[in-house]
Amino acid sequence: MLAADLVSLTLSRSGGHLPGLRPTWQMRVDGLSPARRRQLDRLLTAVDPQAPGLAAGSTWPDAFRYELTLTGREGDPVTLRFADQDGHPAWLDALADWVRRNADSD
Amino acid sequence: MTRYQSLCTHCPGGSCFIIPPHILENVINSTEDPLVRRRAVDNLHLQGHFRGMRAGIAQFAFAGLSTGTKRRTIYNARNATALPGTLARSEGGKKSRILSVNEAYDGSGATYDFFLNAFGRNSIDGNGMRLDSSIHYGRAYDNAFWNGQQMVYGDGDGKLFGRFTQCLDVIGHELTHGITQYTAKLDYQDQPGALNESMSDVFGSLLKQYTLGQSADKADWLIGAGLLVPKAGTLRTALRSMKAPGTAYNDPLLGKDPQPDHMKNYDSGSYDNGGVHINSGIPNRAFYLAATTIGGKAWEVPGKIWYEVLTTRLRAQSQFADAARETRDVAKKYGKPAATAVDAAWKAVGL
Repeated sequence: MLAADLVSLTLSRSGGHLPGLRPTWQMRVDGLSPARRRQLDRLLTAVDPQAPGLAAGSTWPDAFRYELTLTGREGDPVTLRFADQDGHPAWLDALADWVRRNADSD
Repeated sequence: MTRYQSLCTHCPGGSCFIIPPHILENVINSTEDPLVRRRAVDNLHLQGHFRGMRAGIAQFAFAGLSTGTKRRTIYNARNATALPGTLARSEGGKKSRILSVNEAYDGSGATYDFFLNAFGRNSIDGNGMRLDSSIHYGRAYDNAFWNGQQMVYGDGDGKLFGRFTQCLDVIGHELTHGITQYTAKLDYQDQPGALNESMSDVFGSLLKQYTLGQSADKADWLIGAGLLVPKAGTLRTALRSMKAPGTAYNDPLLGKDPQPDHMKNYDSGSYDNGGVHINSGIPNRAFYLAATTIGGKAWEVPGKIWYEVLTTRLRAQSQFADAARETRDVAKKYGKPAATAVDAAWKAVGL
C-alpha cells in the first residue's frame, strides 16, 4: 500500500482515565507535502491488516484503545483496532503516532 | 533455540538449553540451596547479557529476600512504546537526573511500604514481586497504566496533562490494579470494572493520606490533583473526586466529570468498558462517607475493611451489592460504630 492509494487516515482514541476524552485525528492524503508523503509511504509498507495480534479483545486497566481507519481510493475502508500493550505489531504504533502528530485533531 | 556452552556443569557435554527466565526466577525465590540460587542468578545474568539487558537483570540479585524488602526497577522507554526500555535506576541505586525516574522510584516504594505497614502485604502479588516501572512511554503520552506486569507512565502533552509520575495517588491507583489482578481478579467491565477502578481510587487516596499523615477529615479525597494543566476559565481540579463525584473537572476539551454519586444516576452506557471510570463514583463516595464517619486515619479501620473484602471476598463478577454486603459484614469485626458507619455509607449511595 502507498500513500497514493489512500484518500484519508483517521485515528480515534478512547480509554484512559477520562471517559469523555475521545479525540480523533484526521488527515487527507491529497494535502500532504512530498516529504510527508514519502514518510507515509515508508510507514505504509509495513501495514498488514491480517497481521497477528490485531483486534485483541482485552485491554489493561486504564489503557488506551485505538481505531485507525485507512480509506482508499477503491474498496471499503480498512479499520485496525488495537490497544496499548495488547501485543499488536510495532508498525501500528509508528503509523498511529505519525498520524497523531501530523493530522488535525477534533 | 539458543544454546549456551559451559553454563550447566551437570549436563552431558557441559551444555544445555537455556531455562526460561520465569522458571529461573521461581528457582531463585523458592530454593534454600545457596549454590542453586547462585547458579540461577548467574544464568539470568547471562541470559540478560545475551539480550542486551544485563543491567536490567541485576535486579534478580535481590530475589528471595524476605518480607519488607523492596525491589524497584525503573526503566526509560525513551519515548518509544517497546517495554521495558533501558535501565534507569534499580533498588538502592543513586538518584537519577530525570525527575520522573525518581518519582516513579519513590512512588512505587511508598506504595510498597504502605501496603506492607498498613495491611501486611508483601508487594503486588503478596510474595515480594518486583515493582517495575517505565517512564517516558510514547511521545506526549497522556496516560499511565498497569500492563499486567509493570507500571507504564507517559509524560503528558503539557497542555492537558502533566507527567503522570507527579501524583502519588495515581501511582498507588495503578499499582492497586496489580493487587486486584492477584486477588479479586475483578473483570474490567460494567460493575466489576467500576469496583476495580474504585478499589484503585480508594487505595490510591489512602496511600496519599498515609504518606501525608492525614486524618480522613483533612484529606482532599481527590485523585490526580494537579495532573491536569490549569487553564483560565475552566475547571481542572483533578481526575476524580471521591467526596463529590462529578465535580473534578469541567472543561471544553475534557467535558464535564460524568461520575454519579448515587445509584439513581448509574450510567448504563457501553463506552468506557461499561462506565468503569464513571460509576466508580458510587462506591468511591460510599468509602469516603464511611471513612469520614468513622473518623481518624482512614487506612486504619475503613482501609482494613475494604482491603479484606478486595483480597478475600470479591470475585471476578462481583457487583456493587456484593461489595456493600461484604464490607458491611467485615465491618462488624471493628465494632458497632464502624458497622453502622459502613451500613449508612452504602445506604446513602442507594445500596
